[in-house]
Amino acid sequence: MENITITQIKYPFLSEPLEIYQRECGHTIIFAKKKGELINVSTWVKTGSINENDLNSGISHFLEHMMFKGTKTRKPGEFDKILESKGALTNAATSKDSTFYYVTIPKGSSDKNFDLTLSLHADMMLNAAIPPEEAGDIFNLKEPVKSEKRERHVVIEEIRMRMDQPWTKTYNLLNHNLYNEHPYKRDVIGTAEIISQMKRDTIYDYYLRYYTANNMTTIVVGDFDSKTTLEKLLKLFDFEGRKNCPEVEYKIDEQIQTTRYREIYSDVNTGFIMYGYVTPKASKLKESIIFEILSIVMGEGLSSRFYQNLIEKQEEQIFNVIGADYYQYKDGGNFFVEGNFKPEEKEKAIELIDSEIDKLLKDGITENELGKAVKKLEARFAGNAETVSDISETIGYYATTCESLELAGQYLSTLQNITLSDVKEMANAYLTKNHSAIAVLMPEKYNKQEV
Amino acid sequence: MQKLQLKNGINVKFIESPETPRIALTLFLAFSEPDNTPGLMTVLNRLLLQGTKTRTAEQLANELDENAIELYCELKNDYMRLRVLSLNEDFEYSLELLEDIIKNSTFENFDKEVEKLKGELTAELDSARAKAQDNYYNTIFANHPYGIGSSQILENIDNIKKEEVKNKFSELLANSKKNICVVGDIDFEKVKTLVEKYFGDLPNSAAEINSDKYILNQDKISTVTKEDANQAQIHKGWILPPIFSEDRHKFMLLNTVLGAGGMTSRLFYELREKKGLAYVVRSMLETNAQASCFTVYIATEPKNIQTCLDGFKTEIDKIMNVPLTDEELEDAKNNLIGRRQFYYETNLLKATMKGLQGAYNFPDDCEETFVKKIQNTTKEELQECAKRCFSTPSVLSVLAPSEFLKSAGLEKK
Repeated sequence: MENITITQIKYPFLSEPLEIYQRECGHTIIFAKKKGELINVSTWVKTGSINENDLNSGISHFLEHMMFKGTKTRKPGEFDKILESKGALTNAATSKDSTFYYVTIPKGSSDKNFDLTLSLHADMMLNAAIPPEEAGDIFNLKEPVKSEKRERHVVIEEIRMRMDQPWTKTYNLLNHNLYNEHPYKRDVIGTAEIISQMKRDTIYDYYLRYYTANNMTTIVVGDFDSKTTLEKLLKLFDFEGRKNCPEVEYKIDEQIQTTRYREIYSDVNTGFIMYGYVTPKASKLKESIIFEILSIVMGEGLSSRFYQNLIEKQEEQIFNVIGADYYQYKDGGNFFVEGNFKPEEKEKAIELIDSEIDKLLKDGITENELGKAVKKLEARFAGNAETVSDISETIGYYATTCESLELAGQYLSTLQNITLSDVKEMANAYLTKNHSAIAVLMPEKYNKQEV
Repeated sequence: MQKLQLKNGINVKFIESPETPRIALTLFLAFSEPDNTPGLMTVLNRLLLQGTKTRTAEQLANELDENAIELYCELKNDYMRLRVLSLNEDFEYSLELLEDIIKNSTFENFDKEVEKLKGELTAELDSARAKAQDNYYNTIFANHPYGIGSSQILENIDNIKKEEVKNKFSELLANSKKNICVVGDIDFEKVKTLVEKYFGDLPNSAAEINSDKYILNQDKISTVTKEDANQAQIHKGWILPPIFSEDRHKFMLLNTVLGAGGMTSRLFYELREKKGLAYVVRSMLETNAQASCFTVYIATEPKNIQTCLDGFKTEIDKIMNVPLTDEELEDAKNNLIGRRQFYYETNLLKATMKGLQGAYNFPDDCEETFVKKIQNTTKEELQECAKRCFSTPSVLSVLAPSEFLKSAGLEKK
């Protein structure tokens, strides 16, 4: 057997520790045990829009679609047909940092479904064929399509779908504005112009470059035997002949020093606003938890400051919706304020958001608010241990985006030690208005007024 | 599963789930008849979280969040569903809060809540998909409570009075048939004591859900113009018999084969995989007490409207006229049965499924019976069912820019 480093990590709310098998080739295998009928098998690949540029924006996501189009030995659709006929859910997702593929399947009375899942999943990950006819011919967006339509058109429809979503439009504007040079500034899905022109071989080369042993983490969650499963995975995930991907570090942008404000117009009746701030790297556990706390206190649920102060306690209704959110990414997270408002009250809406942020920066949060956020985060962690797919996603996030599974084990103790001054200090370091980008989507008629 | 009946006749089911950190409780209030005043039940439902005799809305929100208790008040076509999910140590506290909102809600924040709701619905209708969905249900369930959506609520909401809401809630409490389900790491004796303590004095009704049939008499076409839409939103649907139908399992199998079975379903394969017409294409089955609804949906580049309608027709004609192969039928059965496991994965999901079965008065072994019926279905039975379902009048709802509606021969609404 090959040389493997084995470690175990205690994972909150699971009765058995996680088993981590680090292979010499760089491939990581993680097992998490949970009783029940369902079993989840996934592989996380450390690539997403972080590895893209202006010429190939959207390639990670296009490749994700093409991964379901067969392998060297299996026809397109065979993977889905076999697994879905056993009641499995199969899908994938691409983000800024990673792309992951999963199968959740009822185990059935024997290990047959499980064995089948392992072999089909490994085949898909290592032997994707990316058939040219399934990608479809490249074409000019402005001209009628002559060839039979294929997957690139599906991706373009996904882009169109997002163009009809006011929140997504606002987010894309904000995201682009949050960065100078860092690849995070591009939309994960890319543009119709780029996708329509992306050649099959470009996609295949990208696949060979990034879908390598050192870039992959395979996770199995459920009720299964470790020894036999490991033996099978070692055999199935044979990376022979595939060169590991070199580690690339991207220069992190300087923090924004002057507020960047952008406004666009569309056929909507209400106004949409998003504030965005770039925060520390996901691997900074304490900092990440502080922004989770700030997101809860400021903008999550009916007791949050935004909801109470900007909706409930306002005599005149300005906001229809207001909240906060926090996304963690490898090279720095994003803290958001997001609101929907009456468009005639735009200035007032901005003033209200600013005043709440100012109060936070000046006074910090209260003991009660900290207690509430800590309890909510504990319950959330517990909730994320209830399904095999949630456990798998949490593990995948720590193993790839944070590049440290140990952080999952340290989460609850780090959470317990956050103080009020930690929160205030972090808010002041990152959430002042001059560090923000702001995106606003307004009804078309306001464009005309300004013109 | 263990069961008991409270003094007031409310049936309680309990499933022990050892070594899980959170306990779920569901309380279903099944209507004998859905309300037909647009917005009345929506406002009522929201006001349940807006203050009681002893807690302001803010206090209530704080107590829930400070204890990480998730409390959901949800309004569905045939019932209101109240669900709480708490860490094990906070279970009793979660029941105390639930009891308070049921027994002591004041509805005092009526005016504020109406204003908030109007704003939220206006914002929601800025989404093309939400607008299209609103138009579709409004058309297929015209003049029926199931068709009440955001736009109808917005039109009528200013006519609703606070007293009407209060009276409606008293009526709902008195006339709804209730059931409770608890799932978690807790002792049954403790559950008995707690549910009796907090819900043993709730009024209860034995009245079953009225299963009168709603019928769609003729084909209908309804369009919505949205000039800047990048995609056309197309819904086509049929009214099917109520949830109590002996054929429900067949409807579900048809749904699996056509568009709910994942990447191998026919609509997905033919319209997305082979023709690249859409990212989202699927079928949906909604089963209700008075009428069920089968829908096929696609979001596509506006110039493809006619191609998609032709694609829908081809697939509907095929499922009516050509029997499934043995392999396709077997795959659909296994897909449908296998996916039932996902409905029972967490404590909250289990409690919700069991509560739902109670709301419709299905027997305890309904899941097993249902699976057997799926297993025993033949391709001839399924084809006969498809013929019955899809030869009835249908509704077509399309949202798109006007030039594309026109070129597809669809009239402007």
